[in-house]
Amino acid sequence: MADIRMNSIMKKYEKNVTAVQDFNLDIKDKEFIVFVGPSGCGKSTTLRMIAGLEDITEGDLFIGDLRVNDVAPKDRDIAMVFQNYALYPHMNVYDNMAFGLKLRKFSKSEIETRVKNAAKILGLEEYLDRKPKALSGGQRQRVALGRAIVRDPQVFLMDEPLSNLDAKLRVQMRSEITKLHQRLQSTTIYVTHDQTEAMTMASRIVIMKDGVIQQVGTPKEVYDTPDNVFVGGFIGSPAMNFLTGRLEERHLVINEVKVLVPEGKMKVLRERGYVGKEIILGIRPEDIHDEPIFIESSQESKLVATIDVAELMGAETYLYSKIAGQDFIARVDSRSDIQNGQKLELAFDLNKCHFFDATSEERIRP
Amino acid sequence: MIDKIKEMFGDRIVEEFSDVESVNNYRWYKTPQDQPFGIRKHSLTEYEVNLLEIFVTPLPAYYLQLSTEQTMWKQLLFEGTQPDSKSPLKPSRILQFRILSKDADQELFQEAIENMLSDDLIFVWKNTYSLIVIEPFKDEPISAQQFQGLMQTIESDFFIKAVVFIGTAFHTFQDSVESFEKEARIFQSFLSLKNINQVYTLASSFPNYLLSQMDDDDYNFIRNHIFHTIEPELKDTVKMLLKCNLNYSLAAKNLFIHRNSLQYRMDKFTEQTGLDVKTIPDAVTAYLLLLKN
Ligand SMILES: Nc1ncnc2c1ncn2[C@@H]1O[C@H](COP(=O)(O)OP(=O)(O)OP(=O)(O)O)[C@@H](O)[C@H]1O
Ligand SMILES: [Mg+2]
Repeated sequence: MADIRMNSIMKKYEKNVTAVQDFNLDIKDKEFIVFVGPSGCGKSTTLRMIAGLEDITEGDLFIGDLRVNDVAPKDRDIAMVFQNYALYPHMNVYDNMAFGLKLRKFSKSEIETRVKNAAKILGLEEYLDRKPKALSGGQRQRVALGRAIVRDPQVFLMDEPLSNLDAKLRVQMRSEITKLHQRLQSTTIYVTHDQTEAMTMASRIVIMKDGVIQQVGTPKEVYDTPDNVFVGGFIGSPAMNFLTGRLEERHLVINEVKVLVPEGKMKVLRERGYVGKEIILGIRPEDIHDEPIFIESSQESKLVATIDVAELMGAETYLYSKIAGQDFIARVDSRSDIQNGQKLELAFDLNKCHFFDATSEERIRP
Repeated sequence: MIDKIKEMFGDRIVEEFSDVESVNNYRWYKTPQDQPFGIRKHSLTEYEVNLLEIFVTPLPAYYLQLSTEQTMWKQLLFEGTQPDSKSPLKPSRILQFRILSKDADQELFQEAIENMLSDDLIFVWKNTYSLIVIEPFKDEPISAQQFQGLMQTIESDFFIKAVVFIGTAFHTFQDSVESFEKEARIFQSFLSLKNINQVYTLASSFPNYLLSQMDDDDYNFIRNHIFHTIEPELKDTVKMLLKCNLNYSLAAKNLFIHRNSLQYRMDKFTEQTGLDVKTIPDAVTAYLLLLKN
């Protein structure tokens, strides 16, 4: 059993560099947790504190029932895979996988059992005698995973293990890691700055910014109900659009564009006292429509937009435009008939949109 | 513990075995905290030795029993012995490893490094956490980037933090030796910069080294002056753009904004600071001003 509990964890590197603060998270046994966020937000620092490679400045870290703040890294029963991970070029695959066990003074026969077992799981049995040079990129990455698997740890920590692979291999390894997790059922914490990776792999996502957790939830939760502007903009590609406007009795007014706010949402905004104030509308690109039939039935949430750029992406097209100097993107079914600079009718599906406080950038909720 | 031992043995004790004389004339131990120390051999009674060894462990042989080559390098590097022209030593590059955590298994650490590089290395331990590795000159030596991966591998095997400074590869061994002293000193100051690298080279650490030589007040004065009116968000924008080597599309993608918005922000940056990062001198200035926290 390996629950991980993090209570008010804080990390200061030097007196004025706070890398992580007020970090609270309960990770349940067998979960696949993904830390995601922009560069420098403290993902690696948090992972390294769990590993014990960085000291925890303040707060408590529990693995199982044990407070491990002062437990040496090697006694924490974890295994790590890192981004730039290399294999020992002069050892064959077998020895690469065995080395960590040798360090921990496992017996020869125990090492052999474990390495062979890991090789079987990863489909590396035929390659045990090869040197890393003679492996493909994917095989090497599997050996890297194998080096962690043989340790049979309570917890796997992975820091952007796929970011050095090319796009195709990355997608393939992504699903291999997911399958591996289903098979081994070990608690896993996985760091990435790629939100697609986060969405496809995680049982829960932890979104971080500037060392602070922004939201924790399942991929669906964070996609459908982002807690703030940052999460809304970070999760989803292309990103959610944000348009600042003034709220009237029944409408949101963004300069010359005036859209009707559905009554359910309007009720909340009214109760929270936002009428007459500036608020931020968050709307996903796929919730902006160009189909005549949708526009027909959305007379009070349509606008005429000048399309700056139309990007044909295969099955769909991204339309780049502006309202009152604010950029937005619409994601519509594939069409190749749009010229740059052309005017086009679009309609917002406001039932699917979110409203955020213009100052705190928090989502406005009942 | 080491303080207690010093109290007991006074000037009979040394803590660095940097010269051959000290290796031979002292009996070497390490404390449970991995702190090495030597006590002058002829001054120790058998009783003292027995007593000591209840609390501390003798240092393993590979520190102390040195091959001829190891001894020669040790004398060259730490005792300033002049290399003679008939010396059998080869031109080399010098790698300085520093282990930053306790409880490392030095013998296996050495084995790991042999398996990273090659089996013709010469190892000289300066103390239990500083290892000098002399790597005979190679036409295609392992790059700093490859080292980065290997250091992470070591980290995940040993669960320790370690850093390496990669010296310059020289064709003659006189040059290797002469540059060592300077490299060692510069490495020392890189370490005190507390930046986040695991692999240091003269080139990659130069900007940080440069800043470490500058007065903090002056630096802040200049920065505040140039960034006087700038919005904080713009600093992150420029940092990212520089990190992406001025590749606008990539930077925009990483910042989750449209390329046009990035262009717009950069225009604002130029307006507010007078710096146009498309020119090299301004890019260098912006880079240095954004390097420190
Ligand atoms: N050893 C260190 N000394 C000082 N500051 C550090 C150190 N390591 C990290 N930092 C700082 O702490 C902050 C968080 O860094 P961290 O490496 O955890 O970010 P990250 O989310 O993993 O980013 P990336 O996606 O770029 O890997 C950054 O501002 C970074 O500069
Ligand atoms: Mg990181």
